[in-house]
Amino acid sequence: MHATGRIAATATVVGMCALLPASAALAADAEGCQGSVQSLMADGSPLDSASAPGEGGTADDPLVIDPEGSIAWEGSTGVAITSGTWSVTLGGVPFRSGDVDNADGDTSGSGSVDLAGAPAPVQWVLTTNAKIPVEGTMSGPEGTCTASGYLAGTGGSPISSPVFLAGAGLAAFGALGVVLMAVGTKAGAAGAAAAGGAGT
Amino acid sequence: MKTRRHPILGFFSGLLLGVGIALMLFTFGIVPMTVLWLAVLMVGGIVIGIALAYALPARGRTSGP
Repeated sequence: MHATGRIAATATVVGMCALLPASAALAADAEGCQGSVQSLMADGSPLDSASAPGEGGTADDPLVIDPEGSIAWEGSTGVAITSGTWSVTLGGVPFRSGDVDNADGDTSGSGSVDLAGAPAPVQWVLTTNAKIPVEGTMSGPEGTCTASGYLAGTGGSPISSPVFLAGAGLAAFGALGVVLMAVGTKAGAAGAAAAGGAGT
Repeated sequence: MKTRRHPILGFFSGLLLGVGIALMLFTFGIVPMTVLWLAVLMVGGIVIGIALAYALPARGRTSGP
């Protein structure tokens, strides 16, 4: 029984270890399409670039973006996807999604995203050194396009970031709970017996 | 003899500790900011918290009746 438990625990850990690098290996990958991204600083000067499939945007070399800057992108698909859906996930969490409206049958496109108007939590994360996996998918009756890579903020001062401060606060409360648990763990006679013992 | 343990306190302490450590590791880029890592560290914290609740040495031992 104990051997079975050990085997199950070992299998779980090995499975997790195998799963985590596998997600990193998918960095800057693209299937059914290709594209490039250029991050710009607030003053419009280039900061970093990546292409998928291609160099940059990997776990070891994430695409650095300025929380006050913008991102210029261009991409193309192998076939014209005229209808369907698109979605973007950040860290495995759905971020944006919508319907594809490409009645003209275009196979390429470009645009830019202004990060200065991003929600405050996104700005907070981008002031840290966090590596954020991003994955985009566009699918329709004609085919599917999937691209993935890694983003990172410009860093600066992670310790002063609200994300770090929130983490430190939660960890402090957790540690306090462990201390209270240690102090409150008592051994003794059962309540009635203890009361009876005290009375004698 | 009955020992008072606190597994529920251990659960929530471990949860807070796990989430807090995860956020700090995320901000320094030590692990990627993913739901998977958050879940792993959160569950790890919970397991450690509950384990500590049963493993911490008992204090204030009194003699039985």
